[in-house]
Amino acid sequence: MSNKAKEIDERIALLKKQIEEQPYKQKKNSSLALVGNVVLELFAGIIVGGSIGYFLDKLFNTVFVFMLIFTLLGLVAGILNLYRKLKDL
Amino acid sequence: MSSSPIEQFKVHTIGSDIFLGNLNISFTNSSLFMGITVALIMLFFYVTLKRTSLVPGKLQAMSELSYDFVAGIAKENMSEKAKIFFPFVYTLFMFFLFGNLIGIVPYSFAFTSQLVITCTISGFILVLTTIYGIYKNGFRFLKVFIPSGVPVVLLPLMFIIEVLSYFAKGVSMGVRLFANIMAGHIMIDIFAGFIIALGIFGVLPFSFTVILYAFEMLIACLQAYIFTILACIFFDQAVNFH
Repeated sequence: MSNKAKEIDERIALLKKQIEEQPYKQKKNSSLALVGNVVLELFAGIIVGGSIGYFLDKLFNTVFVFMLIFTLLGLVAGILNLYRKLKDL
Repeated sequence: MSSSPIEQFKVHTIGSDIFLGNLNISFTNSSLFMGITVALIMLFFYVTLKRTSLVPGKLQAMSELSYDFVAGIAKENMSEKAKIFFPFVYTLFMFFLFGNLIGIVPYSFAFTSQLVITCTISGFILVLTTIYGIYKNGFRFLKVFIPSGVPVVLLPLMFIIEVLSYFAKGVSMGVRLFANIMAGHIMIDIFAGFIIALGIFGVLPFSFTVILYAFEMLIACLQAYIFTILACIFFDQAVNFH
């Protein structure tokens, strides 16, 4: 009986060691990229850029200049996010 | 019966309006269901962990499984140094899981279908990550916004684009949860609206609604899971940025 207990103890120690030795590795979030909505990334970029542009327009009393520029930059940012996500696939 | 499928997302105050200066902090149905969610989570842990033993019973196994599940997500997506955020991540998961599941109970209110709530939480995560990143790494953390190997001429432009993309990640995180929950609820409402209108043929939309309900339950769990993963990735960025 005690022999068996010893055996189990050894196995537990071995498994613990295996778990500890497992190095943390940055997992490429491939499943996430599959689940995530592709259009959403572009949309989020445009929304962020557009709203920053809108407030800058208000701040500097200009009409549509910053909004246009920042919406385009936001679109680029969205494409960049999308590219990074798809690269990880 | 609500006349419009959007009507179910209407936020209305319960009791009288409360103002703090110019800020409207009235108690709404949204706040009520957030309170119910928190109360239910606390009840869940109270009931399941009332009598704990080394070999978990069925009830204890429920809460331990949920813990193991989130611990698994955190292990895969966060480094050891980011473990300080684990309690928050676990709270976040339970809050959204219970919130989404309560939201699909008829006559209840899905607070996760409010953009202001999901985006506030994702914005909070974004700010927390940034502050913690700067606190831990000093202003070297701002290197996140400067991609390597870019000509100096393009640097200001790239900096702006990187900052925008950083914030866009937070927005997409909030919008994803909101859009999925809202779309599902609208779809169920529309199909359920056909049941009475079609008379005897209402069996068809009825069966479809049943299937959609099961599907919505999947979405409710899945979105809580995805939100948790995204939060983990954000927190991991605060300590491992390169």
